[in-house]
Amino acid sequence: MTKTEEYNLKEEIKEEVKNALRNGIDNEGCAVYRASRKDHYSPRGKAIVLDNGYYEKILYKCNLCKACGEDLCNTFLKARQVLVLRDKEMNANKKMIENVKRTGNIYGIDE
Amino acid sequence: MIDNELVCYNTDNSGLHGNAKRILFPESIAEIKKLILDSQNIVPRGLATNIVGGCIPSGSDVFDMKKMNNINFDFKTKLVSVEAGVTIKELNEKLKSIGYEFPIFGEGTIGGMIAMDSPSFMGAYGNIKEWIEEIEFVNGRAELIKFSKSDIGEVCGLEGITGIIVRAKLSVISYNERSLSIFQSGDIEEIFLVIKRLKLEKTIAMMRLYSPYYSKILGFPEKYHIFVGFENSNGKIKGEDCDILLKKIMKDYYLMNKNGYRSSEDPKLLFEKLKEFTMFLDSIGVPYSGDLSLGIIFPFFKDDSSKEEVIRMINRINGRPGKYGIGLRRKNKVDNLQKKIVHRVKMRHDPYLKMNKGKYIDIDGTNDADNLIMELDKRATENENEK
Repeated sequence: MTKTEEYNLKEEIKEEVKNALRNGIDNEGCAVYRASRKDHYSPRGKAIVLDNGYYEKILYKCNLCKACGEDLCNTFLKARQVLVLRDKEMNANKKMIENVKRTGNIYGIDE
Repeated sequence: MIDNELVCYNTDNSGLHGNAKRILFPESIAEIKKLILDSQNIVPRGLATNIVGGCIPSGSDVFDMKKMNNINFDFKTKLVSVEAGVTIKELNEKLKSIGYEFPIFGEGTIGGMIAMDSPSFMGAYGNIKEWIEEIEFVNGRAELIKFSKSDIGEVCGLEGITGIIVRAKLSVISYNERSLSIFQSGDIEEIFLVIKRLKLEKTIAMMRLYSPYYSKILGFPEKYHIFVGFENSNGKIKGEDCDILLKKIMKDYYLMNKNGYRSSEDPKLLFEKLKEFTMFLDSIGVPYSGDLSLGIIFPFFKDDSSKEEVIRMINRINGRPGKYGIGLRRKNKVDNLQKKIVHRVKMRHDPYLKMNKGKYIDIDGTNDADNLIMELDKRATENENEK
């Protein structure tokens, strides 16, 4: 992805989270939020993080289950693309990629 | 200063932004008492669904109450003891499993709903205040106080400026399978005739009025609609269809937001004034919905020009804030007498002015506060001497 593409993606994300925040987000449907009981794990909390222009690892704490709405879920997916470009990956993801390179499967099982 | 992942605590559904110093997640009353003693500027926070800036921090420690989430039901007294961080949805999920429900439907935590004295989405059940038997709260002096029904005014509806609600005992009712009927008309006169008749019906839990434009946005023909909610199966729409429709109208304002109407008012009016007000809104083309059991009309605005006109009208017909509360945004709606009363209660419970600073009423500077404490102490001594 080029710098221009990343810029466009971020603009798209910005527009989408602004709309989502205006239109209301169903926090109580979110399983991660219900388990953690902390606002920053809620879909709304993550949307506010993005609305402020921050791309943080907290965006990975999401099941992508669409309980908060299909549009917002797609926005989080796009935001994760930006995170990967910025090398902000979860250790588990990095390990999975290494495993795939080394063994051809995500578990690292070498048969 | 909080890190990037925690910026959501700087704001609430009002869209206003403040700055939080620390985010705290207390799990017990003892912890809350200790934290209050340690802190100088506290903002209690529930689901943060209010739209008036009721939990915007200003260099404050934000007390996120959602970790306090115990529910205990007493089958003998039929009272449920709920900690402040439980949401209405969670409470009703639990109660439904044993055949009961708490009829103050809405989005929020118990603590938040009590602090705002929120009305039920089904207006006939009134405000949450009417369903509270006892409140436990920790005031600004870090004292745990229990209030019975007669004294809950010192906490309920004061938007967290006197202390932090930690637990409440609430009355519940048996679970009802409700039903809905929809009445449609092109004539507002006819609508109000029907409403007058419906008001006499005792099994009606909700009467929601929608203006023609609002009805269109909800996906109905462009006419006036009244959604009548029954406590029994008297309505024509039942079961799953009823649930889907109720969910839709419960979040109706989001549909207005989507269509550019991002601002609204909530005047509570005498029944005799409702018709005059709705006809006025029709004449200037402002869409609205209304909870006719509570006497609240919600006009929606795209721009400020029509809003100013409507606010002038609300003032003329003595409309009082009905649902949204005061918060940061609407302190001008508190009259002088109310200000004095609230000020007195605040000073009694929060003399060091720690709790939810800048909300509901303005109290300038600590000197004023010190003077007031002295005055209150003097009065207390005088009272004791009199006794």
